Amino acid sequence: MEHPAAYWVEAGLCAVLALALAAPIPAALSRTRWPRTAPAAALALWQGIGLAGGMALLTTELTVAAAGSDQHGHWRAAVPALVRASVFRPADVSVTTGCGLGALVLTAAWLTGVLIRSTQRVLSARRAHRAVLDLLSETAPPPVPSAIRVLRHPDPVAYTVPGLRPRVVLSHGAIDALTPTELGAVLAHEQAHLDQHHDLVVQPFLAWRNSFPFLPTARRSLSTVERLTEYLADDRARAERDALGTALETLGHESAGIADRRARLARSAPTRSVPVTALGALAGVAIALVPPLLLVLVG
Amino acid sequence: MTRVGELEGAVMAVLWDAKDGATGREVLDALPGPALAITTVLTVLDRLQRKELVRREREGRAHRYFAARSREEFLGGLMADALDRSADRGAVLTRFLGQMPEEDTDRLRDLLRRRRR
Repeated sequence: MEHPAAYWVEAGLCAVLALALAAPIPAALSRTRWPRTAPAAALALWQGIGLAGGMALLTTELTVAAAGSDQHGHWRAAVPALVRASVFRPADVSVTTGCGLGALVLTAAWLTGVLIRSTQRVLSARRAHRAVLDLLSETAPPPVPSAIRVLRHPDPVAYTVPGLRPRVVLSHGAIDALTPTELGAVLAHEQAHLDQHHDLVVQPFLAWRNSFPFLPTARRSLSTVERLTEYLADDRARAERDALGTALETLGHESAGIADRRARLARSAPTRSVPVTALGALAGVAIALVPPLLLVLVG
Repeated sequence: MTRVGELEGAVMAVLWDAKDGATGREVLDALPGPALAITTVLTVLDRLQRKELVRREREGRAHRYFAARSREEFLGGLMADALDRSADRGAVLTRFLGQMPEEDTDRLRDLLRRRRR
């Protein structure tokens, strides 16, 4: 299609998609119950939604720019011609096109900038924590595996420092408060966080929340995704799920998150089948591809 | 722990004991065991300073080194990271209790403080 109206229709569709992905779709997904039984599938779907949101925004701006220009015809020719025209003959560019391209560049720069800055902050905080941890921590006493680091503190904590040089950490308070089986369950949970690289899965949503701090769905999406990674780590210790439940009871206190996880552990095993997870991944990829496909198919 | 780690630990121990900090030479003299080369000690101090575990002030042509924080303050910082969730931190650590909203974090800290008795 070569009619300029086609680009405006596309821009409209992309804008609607971007708005839907910004608020109502994530809000609706956060309210559903099926992720509790298929957290891996849900996480894959969330990654797709996150990616699609950014791409929909960028594609909207690109198609607006194209709609306001005199470049029509197939997008593969139109878009590069549009960019060349703006760079080499800026005076000929319409206001619409100028705004569209300007918005596109600013949005891309901003999204990239926030992602890089938030990643840098996390990495440097981790490096600082690791430096002090390596200085102050001790080797774990048997029967805890010796690779586990232990802090000499009576408050019970159990955590990992993710990254290229990961650490799993307990405090003396945690070792004293838990039975050996409970400790094993907690350590399996922590190791799952490292093995499945949950820090990487969560990072884009942290950046999204930092990009749009005023957007309630950005905050809720972050906590939903974090909760899903807790479900996945809990599932790794499912063999000792009673011990995990009592450990949660001992170390935690009654909050919505802890009660939710304990209730989930008490129920039947989640759907961990490969087809379901693959379906979630496929759905995520499909959503992420919609904006560029809109551009390709309609243009 | 590695030899480097042990040496860094030994140097930090000297600095924690030195109320008014120490020069490289003073650290060398205070280290237990066979004497090391001064360059080794200065290299370790430099590395500790880059890790922000140690700070230094110019004293003539040399530096006077200080532990950036006391042992207790360092440990408190680690525990605060483990228990806390400030707006920026998010994915720095992954915790057994997961990410908690701020109100829950405060209540948890109170509970843990009371449990310590």
